Amino acid sequence: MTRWGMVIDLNRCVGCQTCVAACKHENATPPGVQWRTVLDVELGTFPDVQRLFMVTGCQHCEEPSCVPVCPTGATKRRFDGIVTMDYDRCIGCAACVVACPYQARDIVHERESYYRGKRTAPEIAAAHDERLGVANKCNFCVDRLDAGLAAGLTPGVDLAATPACAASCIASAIHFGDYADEQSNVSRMITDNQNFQVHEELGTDPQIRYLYDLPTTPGRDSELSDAEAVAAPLAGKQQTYWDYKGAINFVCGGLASGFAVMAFLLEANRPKTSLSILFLVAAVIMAVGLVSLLFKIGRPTRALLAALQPGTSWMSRELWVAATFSPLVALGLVLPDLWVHDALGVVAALFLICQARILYASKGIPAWRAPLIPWMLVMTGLFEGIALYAIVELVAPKLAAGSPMLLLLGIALAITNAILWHRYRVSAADRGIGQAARSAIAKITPWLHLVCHALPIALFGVALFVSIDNARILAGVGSVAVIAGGAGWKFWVILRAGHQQGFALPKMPQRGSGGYAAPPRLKVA
Amino acid sequence: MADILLPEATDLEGLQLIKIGGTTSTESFWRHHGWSIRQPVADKVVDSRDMTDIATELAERVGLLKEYNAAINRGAGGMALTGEGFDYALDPEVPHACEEIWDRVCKAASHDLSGGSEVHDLAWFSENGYMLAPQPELAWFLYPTVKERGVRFELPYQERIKRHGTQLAHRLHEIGVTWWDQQLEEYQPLPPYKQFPDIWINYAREVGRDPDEFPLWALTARSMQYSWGANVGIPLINEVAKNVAGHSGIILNRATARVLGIAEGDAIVLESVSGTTQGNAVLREGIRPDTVLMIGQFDHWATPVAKDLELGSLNSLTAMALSLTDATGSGADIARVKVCKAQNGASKRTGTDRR
Repeated sequence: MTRWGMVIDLNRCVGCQTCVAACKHENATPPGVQWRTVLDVELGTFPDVQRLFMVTGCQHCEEPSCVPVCPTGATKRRFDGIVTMDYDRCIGCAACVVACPYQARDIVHERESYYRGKRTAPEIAAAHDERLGVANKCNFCVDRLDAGLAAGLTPGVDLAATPACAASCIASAIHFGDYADEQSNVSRMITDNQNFQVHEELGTDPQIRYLYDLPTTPGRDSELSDAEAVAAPLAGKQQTYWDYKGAINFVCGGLASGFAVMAFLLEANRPKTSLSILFLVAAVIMAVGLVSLLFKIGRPTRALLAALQPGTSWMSRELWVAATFSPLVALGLVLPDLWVHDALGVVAALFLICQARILYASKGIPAWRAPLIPWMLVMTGLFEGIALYAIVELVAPKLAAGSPMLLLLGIALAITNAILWHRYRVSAADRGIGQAARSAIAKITPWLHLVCHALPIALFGVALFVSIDNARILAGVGSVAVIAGGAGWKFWVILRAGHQQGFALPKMPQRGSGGYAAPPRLKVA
Repeated sequence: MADILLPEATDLEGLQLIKIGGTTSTESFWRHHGWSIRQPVADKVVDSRDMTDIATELAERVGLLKEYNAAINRGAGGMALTGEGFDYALDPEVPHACEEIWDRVCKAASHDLSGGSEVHDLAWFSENGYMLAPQPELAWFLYPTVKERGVRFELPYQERIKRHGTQLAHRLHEIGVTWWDQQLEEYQPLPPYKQFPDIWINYAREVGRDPDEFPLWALTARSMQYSWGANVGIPLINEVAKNVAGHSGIILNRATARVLGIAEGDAIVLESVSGTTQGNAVLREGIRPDTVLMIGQFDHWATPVAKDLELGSLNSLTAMALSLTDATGSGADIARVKVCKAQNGASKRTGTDRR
């Protein structure tokens, strides 16, 4: 058994970037893409300042959060622990990118050149068009590794079989080896030295371990201030992989599935034909979201490959559920009296759950992986469903029948959603959501409470006590606010609070100036 | 299009034998020393010429071929072509091709390294890459060599410096040169500390300005990634260099920037008594509040990529003044400056345009 991994010695890295250049050369990555990168970290305030260089990249986790979310199986974990990419299978959905808590993945859509758009002969020769529009990341130079093993070399010992970054390190700061071998270089290093894993608390068990002490000088606990935790380069930036087109899928999908569920529940005693039409409306809205998604992914012609991993991927499951929903809607139009409507109600609920779990599975985005997120998406979907039902009642009374029950349910869901959002906001810091994302969440909160919660509660409440015609108008206006608010917070959380997980430094080497110039035991009183 | 001077073959297209290790003027803590070949590993992208051929043709055209070949024979290529027990010297009267010159250097170097037991030509080095010989640990340090050769230890009293200064003063005064007198005072066997900051602070007065106008020190630093500028035309290196703070602008203490109303990334202007330079502010804590730092000096580059870096440069701020020049004929890379936000909001170089 083999378990390839790395040891990075924070005391030895001098920040020369040779590993970054070597990686770019070995793997011919395009401008701006660094599978191996080195962060220049500065902490403290003059004159008490610490500085170190932190080598990062794919951590080849024992429990990689990128693998189960992949809907196609393009991202896999090999027998030896290396997390690999099959570029020909990837559709560029970016589910793995937002699931990675180490900012290790990229997607490049266009051919790029270092020379202002004009590609040089070496760039053309080393081009990897198969990587366009799909996820890419460090693979521990797997081809180099396999070729070395086939030639009888030992990775981590023989440079020709060692990842380019480790082989090129001028300071012996990057070590590669087999953690499954207790006598290997990396195993002995972590046995003999204090070390940490980045974001150990996330349960990914990353296979890059960082050394921070020296035989004569122990490390020190990290003392990151809030300001430092949100400052470059440790802080995560707003993700750009899921853009408005991705957000539209969550808006339309939640609205459509919530509407279908609520229509099924509220139309139990009405003619089946009207319910069939309502399901058709839901299917159209759902399709708009999915088509929007099609324009977002890097390789839309491969979109159907997204159905290949229903065992682990909520995105695959969503596709299967959507593929079930539409034919059933068609069947329901033809045979409205069969069990089809019962099935559609269940399938719509499953779709809503799938969407909720897709966002929640994005472990690389703290604001999305918060435990309340799936509940918020489901409850918002149901709330939006009621709202759309009320709007249909207003514009086409023959299709939907309003009732005090609808209004009371709407008020209950408004209160539920308000409580969920409040809990989400106040628990954000405890859930590891960074300052920038928390600010974004706080910024939208008053508007959300006003438009999506207070206003609908007021309008629905008044509607309980007025004539049926006025009640429809009030409920309709309140419902527009509900749908606008639901769409608003989904867009906001995805496009404004979707900051990637930052880097953590739980321990620091002893180095720096001023008060950090020497460990306390060596300081002169 | 290659004529004489340009274009020169790049490192990957050219030929050269390079010394590995060895302790002479500096110490190298390696267990081996020897020679390695740098040889063409890529086809020439354009019609370029090897530097050796360029130099040879220049020497021939200006009538220095004999002296040029003699210099190579003496070791201008890194290894003397004649020595104890070997003579691979070039005929000084005729021009030699690049390959011929380096073939001789290869033979002389391998002969010298092996004591004559192994003599390898260019073809051998091309095939094998390098040749090494053990280097004892004692040879890592200068001390054994100094001891072995009986070289006098002058430190801390450097009588030689004093003697040279006195001799130089005599020669200069004999021909009426007195403008170097201030520098001559620095030829001291035991130099005392002097108020070095005052040299630059007072220079403002010398040119009729108020030193208080320029409250900050501007310094420069080398870039490991740009390797003395050799890599500055390679955009990939530019990309990775930007991972290190300061490669995208001028480093400034965050508290100082706050006082000056400068935010991260703002275009700023540095002005000294003799020039200005511009760049984007890079705010850090690990720099003194009275200091700004520019990595490299790239604002005068005219070659692709490098000319577009738009980094500030101390070159545009330093004055060519005798009062800032020391006895070595050089001076510290330092200037007194004032810093403010650029009026146009964009980072541009406005100093003397040398492109």
